[in-house]
Amino acid sequence: MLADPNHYAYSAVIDRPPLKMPGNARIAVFIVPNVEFLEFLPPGNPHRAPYGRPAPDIQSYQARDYGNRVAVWRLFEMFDDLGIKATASMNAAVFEHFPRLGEEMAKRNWDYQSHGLYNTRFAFGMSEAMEREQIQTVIELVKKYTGKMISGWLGPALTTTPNTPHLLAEAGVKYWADMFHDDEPTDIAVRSGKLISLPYSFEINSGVALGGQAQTGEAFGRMITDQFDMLYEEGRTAPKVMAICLHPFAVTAPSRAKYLRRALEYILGHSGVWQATAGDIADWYYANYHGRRVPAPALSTEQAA
Amino acid sequence: MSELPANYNDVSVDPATRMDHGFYAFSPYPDRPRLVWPGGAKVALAVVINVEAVDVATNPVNLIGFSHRDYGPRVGLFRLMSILDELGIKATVPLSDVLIARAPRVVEEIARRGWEIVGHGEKANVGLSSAMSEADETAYVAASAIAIKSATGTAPRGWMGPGNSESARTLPLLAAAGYDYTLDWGNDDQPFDFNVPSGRLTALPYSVETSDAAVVQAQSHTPWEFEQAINDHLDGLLADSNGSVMTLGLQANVSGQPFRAKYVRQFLERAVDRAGVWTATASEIVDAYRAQRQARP
Repeated sequence: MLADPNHYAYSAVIDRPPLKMPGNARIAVFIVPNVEFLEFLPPGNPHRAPYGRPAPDIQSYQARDYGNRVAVWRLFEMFDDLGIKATASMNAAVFEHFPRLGEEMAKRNWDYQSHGLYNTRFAFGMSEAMEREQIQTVIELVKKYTGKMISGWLGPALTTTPNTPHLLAEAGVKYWADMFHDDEPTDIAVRSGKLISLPYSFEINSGVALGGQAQTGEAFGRMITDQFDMLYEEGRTAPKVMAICLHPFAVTAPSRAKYLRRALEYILGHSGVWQATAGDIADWYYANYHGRRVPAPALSTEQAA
Repeated sequence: MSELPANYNDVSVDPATRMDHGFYAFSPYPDRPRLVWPGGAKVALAVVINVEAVDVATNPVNLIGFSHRDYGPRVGLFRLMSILDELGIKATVPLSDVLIARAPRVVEEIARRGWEIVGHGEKANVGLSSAMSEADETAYVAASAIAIKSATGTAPRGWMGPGNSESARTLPLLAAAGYDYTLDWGNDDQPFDFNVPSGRLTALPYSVETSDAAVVQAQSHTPWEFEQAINDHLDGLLADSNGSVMTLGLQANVSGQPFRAKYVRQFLERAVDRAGVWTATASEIVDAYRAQRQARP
């Protein structure tokens, strides 16, 4: 066990000077559809079994497949209607399988954060060289199909290694999304270059809320608006960043789409909301706060090695 | 040293299907021609009532699982039958083979109504998986067809694995055994065809989103939350521009309980009154789908 991964320095939220956002917004909201692929027959990983039963686990497989065949198309339509600037969390192999999805995203000029290659290829157990290769493979695939550099990184199925932040900074990735420690961006300690954490949400997350917690679609919609209300109120004096983490197969299933739409319409109906991509939020933070607000800790001898 | 194989970062795409298997091709929902069901309906609704048996747990003997499941063929099915009779709906019934001998009244009452029986394996606690040998799997899927044919005179067209379980070999084995559609796949809102070397096999998508096994049992939602979810699902499909399919997945021992059946009835009463909803058996929907596919250039 490890008492502290030493990626960021401790900082009490009440001790920080308030953030100042573009247009004096009270809250920045980034919206992350996870576009995923679980393999039919995934390769083994000694640290994590892809499925609870022997592959193929067609129940798990078909949920993500439903997302790509059907549900993501409802999400495109809803986001077009609402004018949402989306940040896709991509299992990058999806582009290689379904170039049509890349075309649709590129047409809408989405922002991309990597979610690894497949949600069945975990970072656990990767050597530094293999993880570097994975990051490069993802960057190249996203560029090939969308023309854009990924703005950030979310580990495949939220898996990481102790090398992850250093390799991301080395590759020029702006932010890392795998930690849930805050409602504001945070500087991350890296061997060279620079990196910030832009917290993703493990709570306002349809994978968790509709998956493990098995909330109803209506309850998830209410969780989104309740989260927004609290941060918006706090944002009167100290602006906050909110992530809304979505899985099309679940949130734009026929029974749930209307609850997501209502929640997003509610948020967008407020003044002082900066609905931005994760990449835009990271750029704003670098320009104004990186290295000046809550600096990263010094690397440990082990991390520096 | 990496603990993982050197090809762990490789991406493997079957160029013909775009998938990581060859069983069906990727097909984005908005790119397909619209499906229109009989009477100009937009949504085909199949009520699927699973009637199942499980073994008694031993070591120690535990009667809960066996007897709770046995409520289905004894009581729950007949309660659901009376609701569907009133509303003029014919259901599709995945039936555990062992009930064909144990509960012949179930088979008679299904046949009398012109309902459809679907092969569902010997019993609900024996599913298919890659751990089973090919010979055992072949015999397992064939046994259901033989048992149903000998009891009713007609072989089943549909198959549904216990717990929607499959191995990587199941789809070709089903087609070779004479099944022509399966309820195992819920990855779409429209039927689609599998690539199989012999016979033919269509997926009639059976969604966990509208099944009591997932929503009521696994997710622990209340019966009225289940009713709301299936109402919302139907409304959502009616709002799509594509024609689509909704399966209402019930278990006779779960939705046939007195306190739950009421909500299923309320959903069905509303559904049959909606313009644009065609209630049908699984085979009727598969046939209507194929007729439209064949009519296309």
